[in-house]
Amino acid sequence: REEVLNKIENLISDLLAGVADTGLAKIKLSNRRAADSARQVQDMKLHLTARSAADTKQNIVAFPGPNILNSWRFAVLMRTLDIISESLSSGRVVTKRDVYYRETWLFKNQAIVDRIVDDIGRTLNVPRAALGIVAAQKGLTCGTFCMHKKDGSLMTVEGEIQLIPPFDEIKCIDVMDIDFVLVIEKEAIFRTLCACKFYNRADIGRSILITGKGYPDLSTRQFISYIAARYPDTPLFGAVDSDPYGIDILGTYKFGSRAMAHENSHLTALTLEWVGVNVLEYEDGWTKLSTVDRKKALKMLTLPWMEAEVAEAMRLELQRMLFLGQKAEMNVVGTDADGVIKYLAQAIKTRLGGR
Amino acid sequence: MSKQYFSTSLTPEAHPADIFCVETTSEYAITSSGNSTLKFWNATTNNHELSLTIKTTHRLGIHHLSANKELGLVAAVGFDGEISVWSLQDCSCRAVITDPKTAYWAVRFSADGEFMAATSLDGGITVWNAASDNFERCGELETKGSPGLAIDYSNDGRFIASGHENGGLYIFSTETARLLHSLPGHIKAVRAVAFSPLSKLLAAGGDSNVITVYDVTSGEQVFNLSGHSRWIMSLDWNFTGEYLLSGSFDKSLKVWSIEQTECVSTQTESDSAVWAVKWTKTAGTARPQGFVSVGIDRTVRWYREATGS
Repeated sequence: REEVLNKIENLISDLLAGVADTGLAKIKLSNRRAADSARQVQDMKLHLTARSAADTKQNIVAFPGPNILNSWRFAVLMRTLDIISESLSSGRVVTKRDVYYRETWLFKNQAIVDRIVDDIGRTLNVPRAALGIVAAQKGLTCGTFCMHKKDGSLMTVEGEIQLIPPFDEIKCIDVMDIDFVLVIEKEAIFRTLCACKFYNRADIGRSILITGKGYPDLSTRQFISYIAARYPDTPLFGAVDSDPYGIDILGTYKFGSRAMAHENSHLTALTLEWVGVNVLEYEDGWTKLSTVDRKKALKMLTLPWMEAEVAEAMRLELQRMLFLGQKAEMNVVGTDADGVIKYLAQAIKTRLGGR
Repeated sequence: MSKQYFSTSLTPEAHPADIFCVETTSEYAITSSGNSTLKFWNATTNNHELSLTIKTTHRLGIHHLSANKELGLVAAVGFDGEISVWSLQDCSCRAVITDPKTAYWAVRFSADGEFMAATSLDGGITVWNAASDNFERCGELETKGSPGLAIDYSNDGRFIASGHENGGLYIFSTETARLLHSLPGHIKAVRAVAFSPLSKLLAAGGDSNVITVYDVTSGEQVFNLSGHSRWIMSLDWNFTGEYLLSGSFDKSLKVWSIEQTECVSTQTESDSAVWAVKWTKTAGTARPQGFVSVGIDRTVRWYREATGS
């Protein structure tokens, strides 16, 4: 914390020195999105690594700037740095949502805050948590297990759906003798599985169910990455729709995201096994691949990490989707209302049986 | 009356991904897949060894092919939506055709090698002058805007047929560039269209699992061929026009007798979807006619008819 406060102070003193020199207040900001992160394959492991901060594209934010937009960007940056220093000094932790609500008129929307916070993290070369900012909780989990929190409390999950707490609050997770962990793309399917107590079945045993509700936030990814690392012998399964977004989400859980390349090593779950669904497995219920879907699929196929061997199954799936012009969502697999439950149970049973 | 075919040879793991297309000439069977290499298999020997490979720049894979012996060219369409044309003599790239507004899908050379036509995902059909040096565009045909999934030229050069994702099925006159027939019979995607060798009939198949056959002149639907339980992915007529070959998502290929309008043989060697089938073009040589199939199992399978002796 001290370190970050010092870094911010240095940034400001450089800025003031700049003002004295040139009459211009300038800050160099590392633009995360311009950074070209390469996914490298090392011994069957795929890690998203970022080039060092020195290589990332640097954006100069200056005041007075050439136009109103620049001045606004400067104001956004300064106010965010201000809020960060404040939280760090007081020892409080705030969510990105909290930051946004402090000055909605200035920030205009949540996405601006999200981006500037990440850019600051990258410029100062510290993880976002070190800035005292956590994401609002999004991921859900269910099953029978417990988490020891850093504040000394014990959070038990007993068959009720709970929000996954911010990872920094968790001291450790005790999975208590489960047979597998299942990560599900969509909230609706997750709730269906919880409602029928999928986490405790005679045929496939006890499990923890997790959903990131679409693209997972950092807390969810850290949660899963932790379990994968701490319990390497417990099978970890992922179930997504057979469409370009589903595959991308699976890739995010498994290999990481380009955006958070600089933090990826503790955000990936390389052992995540893809259990479905596959576009070939359906009897009917396919839908047409839209133009947007196609573009997404093609874009994904051009990503460097798609060429690695460990991504082969995903590559084939995307090509088949394009060839057939079809995609398939998980909720329509199988012929009856319980289709998805039966499908997942069977897919998991097959994989557990092989161990 | 049924026919017997048996698989004479197979090359497993011929490509490191699904094999989406096969094209045949008198010398080769050419296959393309989810990676960027075109492979040429010797059609005249018994073990059909790999003769030639061309590394293309279609990094995302190639799903359609057409070859023309007269021109000595093979055209390949990649998932990137581009068409690349290669010389069979020296494996050099003759042309790369792209359209920034849409992606090309199915491609076919005319029998005489004068033209090349391709469908695109915006529903249009483009025709190029294949005999000229720079492959200039010489025609456009418009349809209702549904992606064109299949295309064929009639052997007499007079017609182009196209099949579309919305079930659209059209026959155009090449002389007048006008639509001659909009054929009914499909409400789901049409994935394969094929003119009979004498240009009298058009066969079409797709997601309805049924092959529909039309009289080209009148546009009348003359009969159907049912039997596949899943989508028809590929159709090809044998050189006499007596038999039609189909490959399906149901993992089988079928040979149909046109005279009897029924299936005379079903091959189920593959344990996964068959993406493309083609009769070999070694007829007129000592070899009895056979066919080749490819699909998800990455195997190039050659078949021959079991003759009496």
